[in-house]
Amino acid sequence: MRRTRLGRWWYKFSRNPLSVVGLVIVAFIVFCAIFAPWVAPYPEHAGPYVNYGEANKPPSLTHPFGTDVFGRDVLSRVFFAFRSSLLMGVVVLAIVVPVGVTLGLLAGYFKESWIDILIMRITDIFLSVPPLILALAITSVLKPNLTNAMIAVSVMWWPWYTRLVYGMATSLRNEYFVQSAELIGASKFHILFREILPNCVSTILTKMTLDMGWVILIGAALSFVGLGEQPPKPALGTMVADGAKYLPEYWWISVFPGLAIMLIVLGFNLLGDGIGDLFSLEEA
Amino acid sequence: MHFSRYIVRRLGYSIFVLIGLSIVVFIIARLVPGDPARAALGPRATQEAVEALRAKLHLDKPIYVQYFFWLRSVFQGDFGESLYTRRPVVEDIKEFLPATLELALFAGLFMAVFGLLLGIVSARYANTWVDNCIRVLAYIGIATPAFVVAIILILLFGMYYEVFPTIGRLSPGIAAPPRFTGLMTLDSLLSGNWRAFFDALKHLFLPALSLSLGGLFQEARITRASMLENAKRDFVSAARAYGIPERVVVSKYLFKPSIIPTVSILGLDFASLIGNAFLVELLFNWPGLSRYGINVMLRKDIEAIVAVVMVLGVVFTVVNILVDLVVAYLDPRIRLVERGE
Amino acid sequence: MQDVLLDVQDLVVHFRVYGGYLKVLDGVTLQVRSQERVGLVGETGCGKTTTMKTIMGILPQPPGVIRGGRIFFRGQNVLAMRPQELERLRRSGISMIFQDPTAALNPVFTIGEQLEDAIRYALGRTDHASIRERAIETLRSVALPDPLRILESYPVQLSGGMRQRVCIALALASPKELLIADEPGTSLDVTIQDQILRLIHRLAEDRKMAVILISHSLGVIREWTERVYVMYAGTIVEEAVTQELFAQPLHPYTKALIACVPKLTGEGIAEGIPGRIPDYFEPPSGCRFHPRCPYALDICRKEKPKLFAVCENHRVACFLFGEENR
Repeated sequence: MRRTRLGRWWYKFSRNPLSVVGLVIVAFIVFCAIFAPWVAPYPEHAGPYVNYGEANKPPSLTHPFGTDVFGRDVLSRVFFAFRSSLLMGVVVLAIVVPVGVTLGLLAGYFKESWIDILIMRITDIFLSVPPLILALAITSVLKPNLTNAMIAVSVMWWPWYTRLVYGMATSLRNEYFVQSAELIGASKFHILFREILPNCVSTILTKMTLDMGWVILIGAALSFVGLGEQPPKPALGTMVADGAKYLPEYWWISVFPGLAIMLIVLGFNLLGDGIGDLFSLEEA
Repeated sequence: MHFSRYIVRRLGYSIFVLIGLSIVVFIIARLVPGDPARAALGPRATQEAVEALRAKLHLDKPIYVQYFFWLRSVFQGDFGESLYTRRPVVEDIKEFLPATLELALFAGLFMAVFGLLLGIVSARYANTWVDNCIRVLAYIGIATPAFVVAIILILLFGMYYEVFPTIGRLSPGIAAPPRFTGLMTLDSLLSGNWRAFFDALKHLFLPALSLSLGGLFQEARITRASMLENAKRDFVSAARAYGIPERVVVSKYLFKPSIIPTVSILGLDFASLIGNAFLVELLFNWPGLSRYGINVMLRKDIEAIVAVVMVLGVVFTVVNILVDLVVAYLDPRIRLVERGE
Repeated sequence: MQDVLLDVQDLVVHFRVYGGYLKVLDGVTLQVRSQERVGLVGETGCGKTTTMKTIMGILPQPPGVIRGGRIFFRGQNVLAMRPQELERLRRSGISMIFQDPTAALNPVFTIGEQLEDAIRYALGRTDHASIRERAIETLRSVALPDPLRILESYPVQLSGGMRQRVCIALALASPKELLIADEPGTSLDVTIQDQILRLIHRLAEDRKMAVILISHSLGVIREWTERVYVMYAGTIVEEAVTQELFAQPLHPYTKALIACVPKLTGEGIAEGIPGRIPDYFEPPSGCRFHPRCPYALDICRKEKPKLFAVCENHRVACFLFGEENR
């Protein structure tokens, strides 16, 4: 029986049940984020809503995750917070991947020239300090909001892609297909983006999937200290931090958003590993 | 290449990178909207006073000149004054850094030791239920942010079963040992104060555990993977073929090459550990440099922010050098072969 | 057969992979007499190394699974041996030189460390000075200059030829009765390969060892062995005294293999064998060579041919020969 290409991929991917679990988690989160106004039981609680009569209610059927100090439904706020989290991941990767990959290709292809030295030294400088610390510093000197948090994380994240692609490009530049392209006089642009880049795509895609989780995590860390999305808009980190003040009595206010962050990171990790396996099996 | 030459090269490169970092941090600090001199003196200061301070702080000169003056004063041990504590930043660092170092040290130790052990157990019982449990735990452990772990631990241990304290470095009833190093455990040992020592250990336990959990499981995964990978290699079969007993094959010929990746990623795991310390210290009210860092950041205390980032950059660099040296010691391929093609 | 040192009968080894088994060895039968030099020839991936690892009891299990067959060394059943007995077998009975010397040497220990361990456990010595002395002696015996410096070196500091010699030294750290040489020197240039083969030959003569020489090169087999087994896709397809095999190859695969070798006389260029080694996941039914065989009969698709003695020194597993096989 002939299977389609997509069917074959799915067959390989689904052989590891953990990958499927990851896909389901990610699909669930994306769904909840997009359809938050319809999925959330109390969509109006995502904003500056106050109802002290309903404040600090433990988890129940009407409020599965309980309510916070303003009487807002935690579950609804978690669904809306998925939006800013996913937005953060997508925007940061959309900035970081093209920049990091291009620099990595250039440095790798022109190995041991001044381009390589300049790019890779700068990369090393940015990698010389834990990313969260510098991201915190950058956001703190700017105005704290979601946009600036994205900028700060982007500034810290591109070097990982540069280093990743650099490693691959330095070995690929010695391959026959690159050398023959050089011989027939292909342009540098063609060699970098049409010969070398396609061979890095699978690795980059795998890293991007894993990084969605990590970027969202670092975004949550920023909002945890109040340097991300500003209240009353819901952000997972902010919710954890606010709830932490009311431990242990009102534990649900911080624990459920915390578990939501874990779920996002777990989902993207499992999915990323599954995609990685898929490509490595494809090549084998 | 000789080992000593490798060390010299590694150190030289680190100094270059740190200077680069200082430039980056300096530029970021100058991104702040507004006039630092005006901010320092307040809105009611006269224009002349502001101008005078600008001249004194070299703010009227081009940015590279400013950087030069700043770098010179840093080498003289002067990081400026903190707006938050109203004293020299260096004093603050001296006070708060040891607590962070102690915490990071214990967390790093947890991470390396238990990560390695779990990885070995997982590889030894590969694909059995023991291994599967560890792997599932690892996935969850890696995905859970340190501050969420901290909150769950505070909830479970600190408040429901009050075994481990969740606030500060020492219990209120216990007198702090005289300060030699600033590391509470070491100081109490040096002064022979066992009660303080055990109390300090108890206080360290939860914050160190929350900081180390992610890295610990990361280490376990890497160790498992590299042990299983190496077990398939010819050099392991060959050692068996030469009649070397299984016990020696595993504990020596398989073990040593397998822990190299584990040690290599310690550096990376330590990066997230120091980063996470910012949030974890806040939650455990740990009087360390990271909690201080958050406080100065929330107050836009520029001089202090720059100092904190630089100091932690240095700490991280030193850790990375140590990791690289251990890796080079373990792996002759790194220490004996010139880098590059 | 008299004075049989190693006797392998119908060895079947599979490898567990995702979703099934790779049926790599499908009934391998071979014998080695003491002090005999036996060749094993076949394409890359036909199961030569797997056979040898199984004989030494170092086949990684899992993924390997021994599904059937017997291995006797000096009349003792190797497959029934306990781990300690296997270790004893490897210390004084059989040793092996691995195909790729770079992969066979542990990269993170000095040569001295590895060689001294091999000597310590194989000879049961504890005295460090005597171990050291023996190590130096062993390195000299494989014609390595400056043994003291080599003992202090890591594999990465040695040339390919030196690594190969070190591997031989490791295998022969203690006296052995059978040496398995898995494509020795294949990764090196031809002159060094020749030196290595010469060295193995000399050591075998001096120490009265039997040798199994594995190779995919017919030239090497012809020059250095007395008797040859031809292996195809996990089965022995032909066995003969070396001269006889080259003078009169019988199995279609052997014929094709010999036809592949370019001749110095210059008549025609080498032909390849059409097709490739079969997929071990779903190997061909009957004779595994039938999809590539120009003379394939109906029966070849249905039944697996047994080794049949054409004459005293020549056996072949092919339905084209021998009435009782038909």
